[in-house]
Amino acid sequence: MTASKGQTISLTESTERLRSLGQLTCFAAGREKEHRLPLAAVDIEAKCIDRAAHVSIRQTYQNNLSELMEAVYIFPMAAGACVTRFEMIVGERRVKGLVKERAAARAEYQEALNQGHRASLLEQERDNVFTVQVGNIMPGESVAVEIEYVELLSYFSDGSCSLRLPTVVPPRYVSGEPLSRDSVGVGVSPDTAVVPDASRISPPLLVDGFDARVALSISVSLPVDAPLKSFSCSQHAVSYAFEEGVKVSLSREDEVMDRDFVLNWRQAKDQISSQVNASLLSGKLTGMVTVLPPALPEEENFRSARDVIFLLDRSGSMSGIKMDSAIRACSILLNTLESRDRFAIGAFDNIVEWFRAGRQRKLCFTRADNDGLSQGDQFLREITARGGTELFQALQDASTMMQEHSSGRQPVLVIVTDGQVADESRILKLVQNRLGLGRVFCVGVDTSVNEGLLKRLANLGGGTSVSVSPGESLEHALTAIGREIGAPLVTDISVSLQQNTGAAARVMEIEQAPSRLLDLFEGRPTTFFFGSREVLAEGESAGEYSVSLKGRFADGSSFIQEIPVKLSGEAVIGKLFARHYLSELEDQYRLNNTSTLRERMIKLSVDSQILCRLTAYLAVDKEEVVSGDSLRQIVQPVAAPAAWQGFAGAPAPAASWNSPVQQKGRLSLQAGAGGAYSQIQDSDMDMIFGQVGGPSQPMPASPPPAPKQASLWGAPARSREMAEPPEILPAAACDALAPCDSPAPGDVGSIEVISRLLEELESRLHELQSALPSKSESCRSEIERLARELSEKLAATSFAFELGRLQSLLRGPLNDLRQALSRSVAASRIRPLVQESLTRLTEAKGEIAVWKGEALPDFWSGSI
Amino acid sequence: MKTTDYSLDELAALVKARLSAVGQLDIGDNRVSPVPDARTTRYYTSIGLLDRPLIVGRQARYTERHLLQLVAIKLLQYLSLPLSTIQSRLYGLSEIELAALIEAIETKLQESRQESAGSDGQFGRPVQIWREVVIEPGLKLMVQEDFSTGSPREALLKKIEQALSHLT
Repeated sequence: MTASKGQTISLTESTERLRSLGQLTCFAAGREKEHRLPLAAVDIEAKCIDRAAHVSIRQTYQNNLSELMEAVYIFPMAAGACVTRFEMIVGERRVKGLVKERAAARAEYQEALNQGHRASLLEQERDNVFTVQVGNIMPGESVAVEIEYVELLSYFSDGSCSLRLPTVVPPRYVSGEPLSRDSVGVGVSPDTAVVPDASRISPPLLVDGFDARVALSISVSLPVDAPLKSFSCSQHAVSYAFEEGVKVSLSREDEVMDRDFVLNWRQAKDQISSQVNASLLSGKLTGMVTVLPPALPEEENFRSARDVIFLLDRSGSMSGIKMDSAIRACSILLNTLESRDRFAIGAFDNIVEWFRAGRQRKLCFTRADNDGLSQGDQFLREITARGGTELFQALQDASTMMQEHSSGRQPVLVIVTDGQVADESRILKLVQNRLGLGRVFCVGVDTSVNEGLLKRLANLGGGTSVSVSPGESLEHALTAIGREIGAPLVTDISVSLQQNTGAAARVMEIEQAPSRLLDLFEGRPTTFFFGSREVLAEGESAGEYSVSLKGRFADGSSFIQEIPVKLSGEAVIGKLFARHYLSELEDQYRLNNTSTLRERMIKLSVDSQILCRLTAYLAVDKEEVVSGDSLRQIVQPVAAPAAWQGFAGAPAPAASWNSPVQQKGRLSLQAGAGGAYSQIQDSDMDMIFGQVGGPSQPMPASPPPAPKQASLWGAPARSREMAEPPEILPAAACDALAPCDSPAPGDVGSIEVISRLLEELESRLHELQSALPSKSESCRSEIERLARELSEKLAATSFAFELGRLQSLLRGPLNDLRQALSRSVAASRIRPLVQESLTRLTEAKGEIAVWKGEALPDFWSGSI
Repeated sequence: MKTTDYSLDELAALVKARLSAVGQLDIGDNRVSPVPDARTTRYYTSIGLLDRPLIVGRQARYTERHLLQLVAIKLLQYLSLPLSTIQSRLYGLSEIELAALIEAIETKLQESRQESAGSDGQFGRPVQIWREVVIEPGLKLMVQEDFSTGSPREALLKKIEQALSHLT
């Protein structure tokens, strides 16, 4: 037999001794505290009232150090959140925060810390990314901040509605050369020429297995008078009815903050109609207009031929189940095209790879007939994730493509992505400037999608956006957008406000947000805001108000709607108007950053006490002066988003072992309810050779079927016991340091033993490969033995959780192989199975290397 | 205040020198790659264990603090701790704490080595490390790492053969 490197290994006795030594040493140095992370708890409460969610977030920071601490946390809130309140809570005291100009607020915050006051600062980095700093927390002390925001809910005319509460800011792809200046933030990405504030939106990541122990609670109340239909939630949640409605809360206490909390519901009898709610506060009239598009019979919805470009994000962050879902989404939308439409597909990472039909050399649109569509599907199926996310470049290419090759048809751009890019500003600017792109529609695919970018892109591009969770059933989620692509019902909408005082009616001047009103799409109510320019004096406000809308149907006929205004004293309408008007000004500022515009935004933000990117909320507790010589800043690291594959932090999705779905070259991730982890715990020998599964299934002809909705979310939460670092050795364990003169060869549960088994398995598979068709019987029993031993060892190791993915990697292919061998099928059919097993083995070895910190997760091969 | 700074190569050399000085690199299998490359440092930065480098011109520059952070990571890795544990131990440590931790580990390692050396003398076994060679499924040979035989090759094989014949 030839010697392979798999056959010589060193025994592990010395390693184990070193490990225990490591624990002793580390704990000697920092025994008193579990860890130094500041964030102890996050409590999110949401109330949905009248199509708006009122959300309050309470973050509790705990100082585990022996000196003063400044906690910094980069965290998400809903895209377009209108932040209305910020308070710091020290013991019994509540200190109200005020909105100030951002630089001034920062200076004041620093000054407060220097003077020994506790202070906190809330700044907005992006539509959905914020930074909070809480300084001068005394040792052993807890200080909390409370943030309140209002968000408009997106809903459809059938009464379905959804609420998304993000819990983590995922790593984003940062373009450009690092700048040679101090970075402006505390994050881990350096500022670059393209993204000069990258360091403000890049929190450090927790390595998988390091449990940050943030106690998370989320509860949502829905005041409903009718029963709810089709109720679904992204996480394990419980709901119970109370007098005024329904309350939904997380059912687990150890839910990890690695994904958006998404709640979908539909009210059974819900009258949705166009309406205007307005409030008149100190002479200023502000209003919220909800327009329900008219329902048209199908044949009347005139639709012109389209040229549709699909831009599919294939960057490294899309790896795994996300890529599968994105491909599937793209394929579903592609198949909604009609034969008179044409399409192009560009898969982008650092560059764009365009689909070419047949043997076509030249880049052009392909007719969406059966042949074109099936070739398009074929192209989609072969896409794998890799590299960076140069969405900006891709948009430029798409724009060129559109200008050079599209003619006489309606141009449409569909972007399928997780939106995890940092250069949002230049991307939005591009869409604002390059109208040649046509209408822009976005499909967000992620467990923590960057909705801030996607919604804004769609709004600026005159389209719509939808977010889906990887693994969920996409058909339903994409129905609406599939219908909408390229075909708004009503366009060119204008609005006016009239005041009718009995005899006379007059038109009032208004400011509106957004300034270019959104087009109306079938079945999707649209909301916009207005505010009167004039301030009405005491006696002038009497009378009735009404809003009239004028627009154009696709066939050219005119659309007119007049809606009476319902007046109330609701301050929230004024605040929402301010927030949307600020967004409007931000869009203008992006194109033309004049100081006048800047001053205007700051004034509006400070006057209305609504946060924007040019201001900050500041709270200073002047009651007390804390004592302490030094102040240490600790940045809260965050979990890697769920379902991000190849990422050290991403837990492996649970695999359904009974029905392995084979997919060429890509790991199939058919998730099942039970989950890999719970099965790892029982140490039965059938770990890898599980219950008899069917023979390997042929490759599906269409993209892989989307796993059941519950699957991804049903993935088991990590268990505290298993996620914990290896146990601390008691003092007596010092004996373990004494030399042991006969090393035990079968050191149970050691990582080296597992590595060795993998190596042995590998050499056995190689042997089988070269010996086929003979020897299959002896190899089978040998492989079976090794697999069983591997299972036992995996179950016995104290890192069973971290190594859980090994099981899901190996189980399917090895099982298939064993069955094929026992049925003595032809060698030609066994070979691919052996190859598959070998591929998985290599992956498994990579997993171990990553876990041991020797190698980097795949994710890093192409930055993000 | 001007502090010394290093390029990544210089930093890697310093880390290596520091670890070699305490004799860390010559024991065990080479599970710890002593020289961090650009990708590895970027990864350590992303998990908050290594500060962002300074950017001077278009070059990344590193300081004493970076050196301490890397040496600490490497020492703990050498102790076979998983990265998650390393992160929880090192995250948020000040330079002084890092230096203290490094020193503590180095001292412990030295003590442990002396202990081993002492007891090795007692038992007359200089080495802890064994290698095992799989001859074929079910049959392994165990060899001390620095084993060198005095007997001629044929004699050795004969001995092995004899030993095996007892088994069958």
